Amino acid sequence: MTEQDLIDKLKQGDQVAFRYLVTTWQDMVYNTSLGLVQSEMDAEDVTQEVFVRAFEAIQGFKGESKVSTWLYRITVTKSLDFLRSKKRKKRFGYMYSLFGPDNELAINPPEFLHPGIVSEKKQVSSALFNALNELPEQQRVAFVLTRLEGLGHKEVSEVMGNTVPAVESLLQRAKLNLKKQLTNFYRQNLE
Amino acid sequence: MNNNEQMDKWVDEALNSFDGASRATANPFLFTRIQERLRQKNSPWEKVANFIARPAFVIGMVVVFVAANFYVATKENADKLAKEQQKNEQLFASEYNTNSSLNNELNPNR
Repeated sequence: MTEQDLIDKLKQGDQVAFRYLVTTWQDMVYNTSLGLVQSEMDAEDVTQEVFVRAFEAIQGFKGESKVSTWLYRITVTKSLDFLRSKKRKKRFGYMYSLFGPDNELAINPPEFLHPGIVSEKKQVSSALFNALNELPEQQRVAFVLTRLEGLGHKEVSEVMGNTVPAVESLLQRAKLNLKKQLTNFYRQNLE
Repeated sequence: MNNNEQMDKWVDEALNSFDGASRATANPFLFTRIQERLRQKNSPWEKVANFIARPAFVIGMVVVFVAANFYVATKENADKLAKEQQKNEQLFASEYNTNSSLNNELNPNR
């Protein structure tokens, strides 16, 4: 089935086509979301949201970009929305913990271990994931898409709606900031 | 190896820790869950609940509630003032007997 056939069938509300869309791109969506939200449960929730949104928004999809690029865009938007809402809840949770029972553990989960990372690098990667959380959103998205999803700069620029040099600049700044964060982290551990 | 060299080595290791990572796989029942979510989203009750939960709706309801309270409070006050004024007028009339004289003047044959 070509992408255009798939889009046409999705626009007609074809359930088989929708199942094909989900099964073909579910791991891509889940892995991207997991890299950004850093929780398996939350990433599954975001993945469901992404496909629900795709189902609802298919009528407006003109097919100017690839389906995967379109899905990446929805995933990034939904993941960032999720993180913003989590941040708001965290602020409320802090207030709540001042006056009520301590729920810090539920809000600040322990270190994140990505299931796709080779076992000997898992522990080290959790330091990188922690450092990623401190990056500005755009840098974080560019880094996750290139390093975790393996996208090229051109594809990242299409997903993010930026130019290729802008993506390269984002990645360079992301690496510098990550280096700073990690150096501080290891320095504290050495002391 | 001094501390700085050791730290640089750790930083580089961490920065390259995503190399060779495979894609995490989604739940095999994902499609069923998405279908369930779509079904829930399209149910009329869910639509009503979503409409009620909208900030614009909540703010609108609060404004209506405050406006209704304000209206009732001011109307009650105005009624109370009108009644008080009428009572004062009646008291004044009975005190100076203005009502009867006025009646006499209007109906001299009575």
